[in-house]
Amino acid sequence: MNIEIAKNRIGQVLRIDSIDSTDSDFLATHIPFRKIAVKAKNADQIEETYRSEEDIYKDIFENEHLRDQHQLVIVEGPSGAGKSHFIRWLNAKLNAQKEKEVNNEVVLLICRSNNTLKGTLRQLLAKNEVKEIANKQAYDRLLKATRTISEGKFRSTIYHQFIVEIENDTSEKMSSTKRRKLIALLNNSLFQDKLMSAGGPIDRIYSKITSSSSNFDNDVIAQFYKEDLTLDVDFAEQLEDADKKARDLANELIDGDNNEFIQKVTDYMNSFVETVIQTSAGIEPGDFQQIFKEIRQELKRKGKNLILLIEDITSFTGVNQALLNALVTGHTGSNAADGLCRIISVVGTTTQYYNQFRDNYRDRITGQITINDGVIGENKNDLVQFIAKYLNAMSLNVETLDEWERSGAYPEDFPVHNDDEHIGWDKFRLSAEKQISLFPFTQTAIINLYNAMPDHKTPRYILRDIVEPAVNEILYHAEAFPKFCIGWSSPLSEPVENRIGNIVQSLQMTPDEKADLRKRLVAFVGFWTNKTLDVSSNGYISGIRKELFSQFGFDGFVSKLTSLSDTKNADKYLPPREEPLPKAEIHTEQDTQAKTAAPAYNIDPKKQREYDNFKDSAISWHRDGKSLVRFIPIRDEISNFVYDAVNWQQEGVPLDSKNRFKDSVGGRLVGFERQDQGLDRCIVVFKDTDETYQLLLCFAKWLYLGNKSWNFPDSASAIFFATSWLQRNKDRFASVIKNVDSGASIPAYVKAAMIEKVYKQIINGKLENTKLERLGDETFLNVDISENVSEEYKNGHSKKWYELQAFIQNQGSDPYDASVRYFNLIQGDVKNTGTYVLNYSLYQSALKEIHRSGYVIGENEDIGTDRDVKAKREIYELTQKIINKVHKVVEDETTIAHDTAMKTLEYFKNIDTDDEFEAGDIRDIINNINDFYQKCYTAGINISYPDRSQLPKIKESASDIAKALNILLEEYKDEDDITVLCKFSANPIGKALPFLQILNKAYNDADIAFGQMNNEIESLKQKGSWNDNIDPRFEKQQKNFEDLLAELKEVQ
Amino acid sequence: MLRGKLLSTIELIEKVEANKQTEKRNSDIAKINSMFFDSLEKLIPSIRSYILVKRNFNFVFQTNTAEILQYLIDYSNNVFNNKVVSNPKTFKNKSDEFVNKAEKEWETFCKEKNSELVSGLNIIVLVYRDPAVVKCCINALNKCEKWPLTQGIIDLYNKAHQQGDVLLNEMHFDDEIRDFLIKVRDKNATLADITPPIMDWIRAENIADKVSLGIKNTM
Repeated sequence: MNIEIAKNRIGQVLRIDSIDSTDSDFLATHIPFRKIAVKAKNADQIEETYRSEEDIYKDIFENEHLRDQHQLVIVEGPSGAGKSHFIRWLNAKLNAQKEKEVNNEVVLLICRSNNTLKGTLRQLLAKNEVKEIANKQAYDRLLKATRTISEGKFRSTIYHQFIVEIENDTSEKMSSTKRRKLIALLNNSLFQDKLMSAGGPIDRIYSKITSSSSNFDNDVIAQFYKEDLTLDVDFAEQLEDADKKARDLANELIDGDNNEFIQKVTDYMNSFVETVIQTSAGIEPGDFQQIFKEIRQELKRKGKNLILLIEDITSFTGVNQALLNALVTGHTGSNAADGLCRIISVVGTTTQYYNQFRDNYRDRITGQITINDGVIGENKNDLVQFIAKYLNAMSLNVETLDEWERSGAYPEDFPVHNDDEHIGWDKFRLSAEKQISLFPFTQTAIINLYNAMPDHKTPRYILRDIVEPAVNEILYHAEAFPKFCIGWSSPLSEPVENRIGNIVQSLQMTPDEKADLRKRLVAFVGFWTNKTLDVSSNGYISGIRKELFSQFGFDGFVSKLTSLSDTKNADKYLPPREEPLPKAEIHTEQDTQAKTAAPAYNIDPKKQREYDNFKDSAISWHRDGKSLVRFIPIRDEISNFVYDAVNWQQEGVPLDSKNRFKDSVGGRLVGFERQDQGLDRCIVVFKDTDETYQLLLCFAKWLYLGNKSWNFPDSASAIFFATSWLQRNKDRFASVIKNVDSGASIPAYVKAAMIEKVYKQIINGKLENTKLERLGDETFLNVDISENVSEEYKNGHSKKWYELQAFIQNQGSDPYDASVRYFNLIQGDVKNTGTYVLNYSLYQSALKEIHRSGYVIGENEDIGTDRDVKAKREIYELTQKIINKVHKVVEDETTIAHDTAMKTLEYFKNIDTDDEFEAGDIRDIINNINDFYQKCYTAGINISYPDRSQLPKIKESASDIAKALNILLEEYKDEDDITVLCKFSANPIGKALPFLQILNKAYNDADIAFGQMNNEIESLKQKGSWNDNIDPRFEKQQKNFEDLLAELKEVQ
Repeated sequence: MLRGKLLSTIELIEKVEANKQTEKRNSDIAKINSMFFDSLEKLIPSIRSYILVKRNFNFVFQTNTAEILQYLIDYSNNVFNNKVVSNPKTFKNKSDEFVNKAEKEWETFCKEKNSELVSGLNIIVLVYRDPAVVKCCINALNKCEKWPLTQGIIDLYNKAHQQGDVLLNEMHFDDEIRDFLIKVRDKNATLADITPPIMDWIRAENIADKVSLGIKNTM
């Protein structure tokens, strides 16, 4: 490569679209087509022959018999086959020939770099021969098309034009009901948004008419695809508020069941595309035919003939019909009177589109050329030649190539740059005398890089993604070479990649430099060499000359590699350039058999990329000390592997414990040093070691390459690695999941659950005044979780007690599950059963531990990994909360108890606080109360009388009430909270309260009765009905009377 | 403690019940007593009024009335001393008789005592510059005629009596004028009655606007 010339020429030569390059560059980089099938009509038979491109050129343009005949030749082939290139080559060839000989042909190439309707029309009208056309009106109208309308408005016009067409459709392609539904759906704004979204059908049609975006795939047909009209369930659900007709059709368009119908709707929509484009663009169907006719008449007047080369007929979308009609119109016979020139048209089209119009024009197409070369890389020789010619063209002056073109561009005169600067690089042998240097590529590099290209392996993308960046780096940043392909899917085996990493690691340089060097080396060795690190005695490393490494600054690596490696026999490692290039792949029967013998790994390229991406980040993490990113899916798989592969019961971990752990922790069981997120929440963190690195890659393969299976290359060693890793770390996992402290028999959460069970039953009033140390199966294995709603429980306890009960009941889950399932021994495969087989010895030792704990768990107790397991942490925290609330409950409960006891005691003169209540005391007072009420009743005293059964009931419960009162009278200052709770579980206050209430009532009623009787006495006395009583009025009035008499005496 | 309270209440209830059984007999006695006390209650204001009028106007009942009063006093003394009422109906009848007699005797006494003054006031009320003052006097004098009396009524009477005398003196009219005014009051006065002295009096008292003329229908 001539670096100086290349700096100027690279931009010219590598113009992506070859129409922009000069004819000389185009011809200098042209690779002859190998496989062109020509179908010609011979009598009524269609004959197919294979011809070279030169032969075809001669057949069409230099054949004496056909020269003045009307010809319509279709060039078809799959997208990327090189149709356009072939047509351009015809154009360049015609132009080159024109230089030599004077002829009367006007050659018009309608190229597709301006692949829009508007652009196409402009190209046509820009030609000198056409500019003189008198029909200015048509000229103007065509150019005005779509000029003054905004993009959004134009898209909208296109969309709504479809609705107009469907509304006015009189054909019977679709039933009227379906048509109405389709119109309703098209009128729905959500559906409109979908169809008008970027890349959607309206966008495609719009782009074909107006824009010329480089991002737009020129081979895309401006039509509806079945996928455009296939809806998913989510979308259909969004149409909930839409018109019923729209919803009905949307449901019929849901993916899965109704493919035939969706295709029918798609075809139906497509039947309007051409009309819609014409209407939207303001083109009348006759316009195009008319202007063509005028062009041909004009040329005829000038004595010229027309050769029309159309790269891509789909670019005429909207006028296709009219164009084809124009092209098939001959200049003889019935058309002779029109004065048209002869026209030879060569029209490129995709096979797909050709199939749509072929039948209608079958008889008028004079020739059909099918390009079957396919993807350029299918023939490795062509691929290398293709790149070699571009590299060569870059190293040659424009003048040199122009001169060659002017001379007829004959292959034998093809100029070749002789590269003396880059010794040792592969060369492409063009002919016996002509060899083109492949610097900066090797043949291997070209093939490997081509193979590593993800999609679009067309010449355009080969130039854009391989040649251009590589040459640019060589010209301007050789020290970074081959940076452009770093990160491409590396074909290197992991051992080789690891070895490169290790050698680079040992070099004296900064971590960033190491990272950079390692990446470049992995890319260089992976793509440019035979992918080994073999050092041969004749100066070859990895199958290429050692000097090639030196040219890119890999000296340090080479010397380290050389010092560490055994030198191999040079004969065994011949340089690859001496080897014949691989031929086009020919699949033989033997190959097929050989292939089926080995396991077939069908790895999705997307998955491969995902694996490669992860591998890159794992390498950066392991080799360069960077953070570990994109690790979560892998980590989750490793964690799942651990959960599933260990026999937990055998490891002493109850399955319930493991399941709770898994439900809460999930993938966070495993973590990795320097992972970029959530490290503090991981349970078992693995250091950055070779083993961890291998583990990550192992499960990345399992996930991506094997698609969650061990079905990937070299999976046997991955299985071995994974299982041996698990074996080594099994105890660690068992320990964290079991999470039992040394000296303890059960984990903290199980202990908490069992304690919670005790509190729950006490507070729920289901633990009668039992000794705590005697709590056993009836408590811990009690499945009853129902809330106590009995009348005896409802009244008596303190407010705090009932609040705590509500709090516990509202938690929903029962600690029974956590505790009992922990001791459960799973029998067989049945994991969900109501019957449990308990590990009784473990259960017994757990009971002892609970008794010892005093039914308390520490607030700041270290609960180990249970802290990270949500399901376990919640149990622990709930028990803590309950215990925290209990003290206040005890305080309030004992206060109420004391008050109740004291108030009761006030009614008994004969009982001191030190004494105990006896049932007899209660019965006696109830008898008195009974007598009192009976007396009141017979005396008709106005009081409310107790319920008839109330007093007998209290009398019957006298002994329980006495016991309850004695509990209330006890002193609880020095007792544990749980002991007090236990005493009050059976609700002694509630038992004593009815008795106290009747005492209160009797006391108050006695007051009332006493008052009423006194009034009665007074009244009786006044009425004189009180025995032995003198009318009080005598006494009251005598004095007044006597005073009056005294006054009277005085005046008399 | 509760027990004691209950027992004492029970005892009280029993006692009340026992009394209720003799209630009829006791009720009859109470009715007799009530008749006495009710009559006494009506009698006492009359005795108290008598004390007042005796003290202020030296009013004395007629003999028969005084005898009834004495009977009533004796009966009452006997009842209070023995705490037993017997034949209360007689007491009631005598008491009612006494009150009626006392009312009438006082009214007669009072009217005689006030007739001249009240008559004079009734004349001057026609021409006095502030007739309300005159009417107030007349009301107080008349109110005192009603039996029984209180010290307040008597005090108002005394005050009205004095004021009435003053008013009569202020008007300076002789018999001719008085006769004229009487005729005017009785609506019998004619033009012939307006003599020169009368005209002079009218002018002097400036009461010409208070005298009006009318034509009688003698048919």
